[in-house]
Amino acid sequence: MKRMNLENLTLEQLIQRFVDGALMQYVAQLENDIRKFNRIYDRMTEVEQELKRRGLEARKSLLSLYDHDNIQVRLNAAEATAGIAPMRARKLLREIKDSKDYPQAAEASSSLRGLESGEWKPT
Amino acid sequence: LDHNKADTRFTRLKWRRAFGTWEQKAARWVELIRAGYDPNQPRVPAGNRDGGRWTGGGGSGASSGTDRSNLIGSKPRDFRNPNKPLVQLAQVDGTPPPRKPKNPKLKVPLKKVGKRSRGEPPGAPPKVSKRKPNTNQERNRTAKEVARWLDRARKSPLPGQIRVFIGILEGISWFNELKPYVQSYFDEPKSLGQLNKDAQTRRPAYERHHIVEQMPARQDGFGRDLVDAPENIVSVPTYKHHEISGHYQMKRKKYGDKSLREHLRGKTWEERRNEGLKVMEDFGVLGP
Repeated sequence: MKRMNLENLTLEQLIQRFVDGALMQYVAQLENDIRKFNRIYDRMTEVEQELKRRGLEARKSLLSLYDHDNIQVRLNAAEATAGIAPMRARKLLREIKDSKDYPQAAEASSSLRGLESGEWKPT
Repeated sequence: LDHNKADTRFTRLKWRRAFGTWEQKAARWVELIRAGYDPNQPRVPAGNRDGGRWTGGGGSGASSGTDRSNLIGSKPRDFRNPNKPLVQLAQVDGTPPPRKPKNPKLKVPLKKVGKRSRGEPPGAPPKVSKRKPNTNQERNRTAKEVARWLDRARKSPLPGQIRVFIGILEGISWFNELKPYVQSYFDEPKSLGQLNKDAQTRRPAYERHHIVEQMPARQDGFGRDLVDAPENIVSVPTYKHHEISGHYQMKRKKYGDKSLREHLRGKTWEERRNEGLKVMEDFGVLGP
């Protein structure tokens, strides 16, 4: 996933980039390629920053990914929206945790613990 | 909302139908593989009396068992008793045929999970090529996909698909060496004492894991007496170990876009150990 100027992208293109990134992370994790996983993480953080810059409604578009087929997409969407839809995000994280579909279930469990203890305060 | 529900139900129906077709085809393949089917085995050319029939000579698969000239008591198949084995028990020189190495079948225990997630279809099974992938990374990736898919499928409402898929895997010889790694992925969580005890002996498909990560701990000045103490070492399934090691290195929002490894830098031994134990619980390795 190459770095690009996100300001010129439409909202749909930004959301698609977020989905593509999560799917690539899913594969990178499967291949134990953590460097790649982290590089994609940086690109996805840029997408989230751009959505924040465009306002609350733009960020809420990520909520549509809560029903995505891929568990990594759902996990990333829940974490990216924990600041704007805390109850829904927690509910989804709990579902992922309860599914026991690893490794995403473990990541969701860790995030939930962070939210509940106050160690992680998403904005 | 009703529209969404109907949509989901329709998707499930479509998935079930697709799976039904796939299951029928897969069952046919299992049957053929068990019967010794080899697509590369030569046939008698058209125009001959036996045109189109399989020939014994020169076939690539020893499993086809069609070249029976060196077998004692070779005779045509008894069609009144189709279960009777074609291959006889002794060869010409009287020595018993070589025994196949032990190849235990995958056992996938069904798993009960919360109502919420039960019923979610596991999707199509991963593709496993009959040809051995060239690199270890590719082989492990395939085996991990298989392990994850079976792990999802054993919680689904259609456990029958597991049997069919395992039947297919049985016909793929290169996969045999990876079966123990897939099998260990289904281990139930164990007590800390048991995991410590298991680490005293080396076992295939398991790796020794340091509860407090060894390299960062040493770099932060913790001595070998702590880092390599038996209390700090557990035995975990290899693929779980890969996931846990990855978890320590992945950037996370929770840690301010840093990794858990970076987050733990400068922390006390107890803080690191507590986090290490929680991670093992999160990954279903350590029991609550």
